[in-house]
Amino acid sequence: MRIELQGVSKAYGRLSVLKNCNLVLESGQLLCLLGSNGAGKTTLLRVASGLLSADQGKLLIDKEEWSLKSPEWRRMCALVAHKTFLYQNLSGLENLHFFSRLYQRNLTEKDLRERLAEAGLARAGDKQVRAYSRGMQQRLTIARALLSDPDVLILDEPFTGLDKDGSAMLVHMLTGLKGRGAMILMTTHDPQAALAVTDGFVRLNRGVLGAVNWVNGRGWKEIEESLYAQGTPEGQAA
Amino acid sequence: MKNWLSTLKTLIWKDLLQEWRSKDMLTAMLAFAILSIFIFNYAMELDPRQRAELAPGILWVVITFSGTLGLNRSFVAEQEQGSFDALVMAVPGLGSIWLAKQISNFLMMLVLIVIVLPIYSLLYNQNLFIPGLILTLILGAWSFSAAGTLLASMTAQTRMRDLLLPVLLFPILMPVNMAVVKAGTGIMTGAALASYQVWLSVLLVYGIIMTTISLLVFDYVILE
Repeated sequence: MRIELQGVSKAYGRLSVLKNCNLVLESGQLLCLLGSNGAGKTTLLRVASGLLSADQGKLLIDKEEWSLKSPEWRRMCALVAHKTFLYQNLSGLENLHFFSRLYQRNLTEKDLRERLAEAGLARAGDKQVRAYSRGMQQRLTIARALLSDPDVLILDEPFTGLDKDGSAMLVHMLTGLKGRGAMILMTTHDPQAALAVTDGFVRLNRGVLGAVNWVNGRGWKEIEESLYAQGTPEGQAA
Repeated sequence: MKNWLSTLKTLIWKDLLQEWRSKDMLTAMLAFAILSIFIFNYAMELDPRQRAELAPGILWVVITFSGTLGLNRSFVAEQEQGSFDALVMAVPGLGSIWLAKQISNFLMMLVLIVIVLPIYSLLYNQNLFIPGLILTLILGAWSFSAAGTLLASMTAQTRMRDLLLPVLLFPILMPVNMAVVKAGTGIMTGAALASYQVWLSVLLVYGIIMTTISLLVFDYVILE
């Protein structure tokens, strides 16, 4: 499968946040979106996941045009955002049970407990989420996002709050997802933590998306140099 | 359709379980309602006829003001950790999110009515357990929660939601307020059905229209 975002623009009033952004993702690929605070990363992820309307732009899936606002597209995606999307008064297990039923996954309690165990929360499954630490909530958030076995996974700073084990667990999960053909778009302020699973880095600078820098076995220093030496691609500036 | 109903049931289960654990809505609603009934009781010396005429009005004021407090709290869990976005991504027809929230809010209103009626009856020494009055209050509660849930979903995203919701809601609820009070007064004073039947029809039609409009526009409200 191949998805393409073409000419995506978004403005809040007179403030133009995304300017004619183009992005291509193929099955089993993970692209890492970099950019300073306020560059428009979160807006791009929200537009890409169908939660925010774009002023312009279209989505192509295998060259067929889809609406970014269609429920079918939203259900193909899973999002891990800054907020956890978890219900604080429900237990970890109840949160997973709730979302699995919304996705009509019909997972049994045993399946859900296995998912909790994969996220390192086997013993915390029956506790209410408000008793979880930030890192535990982030683990549960990731487990919640993967419940639907999404075709497209969108992650906004997923390493936030995770300890070393948690980061390793996330990298392991992402590797597994790529292996089964999922497409992953991720933002991070710690690109080196994600380097092992990342296929390419792309920089968003004041709403303008640069070209993809493919990893191809290069180290982070080399990628960083080419990423920041790169000018704004022609025709993308507003 | 089966999936839609299953989604609806799941969403309602989540709302009720959350409320059972937190008691956020019910505590605010009941505390306000009971205090208001006490204040009205002490503030007004009424003879039996006046009591019958004023009871539906006082009761409805107490129910709507308490209900507004509850509505303001009803989207807090969704806003707290942004889980509304997760619902939007997971649920195919966004109308079911509105309907589930509306049904949960309606059930909260019913709990409020069930608790408020005996307290009011006791304090005012007046029998309010009249089927016609109860039906009127139930129809009113449905209309109130239908309009209120839609507006609460909009105002929940603003910083001034506590102020904004009543300011937007009460003008829209004018036909409901009038209908509940007129029909309720007719029932309490023993008037003929024909004299207040029209108000019951207003309540029924308002509830149907508001439910239909909300189901139709909820997608737009959320995504735009």
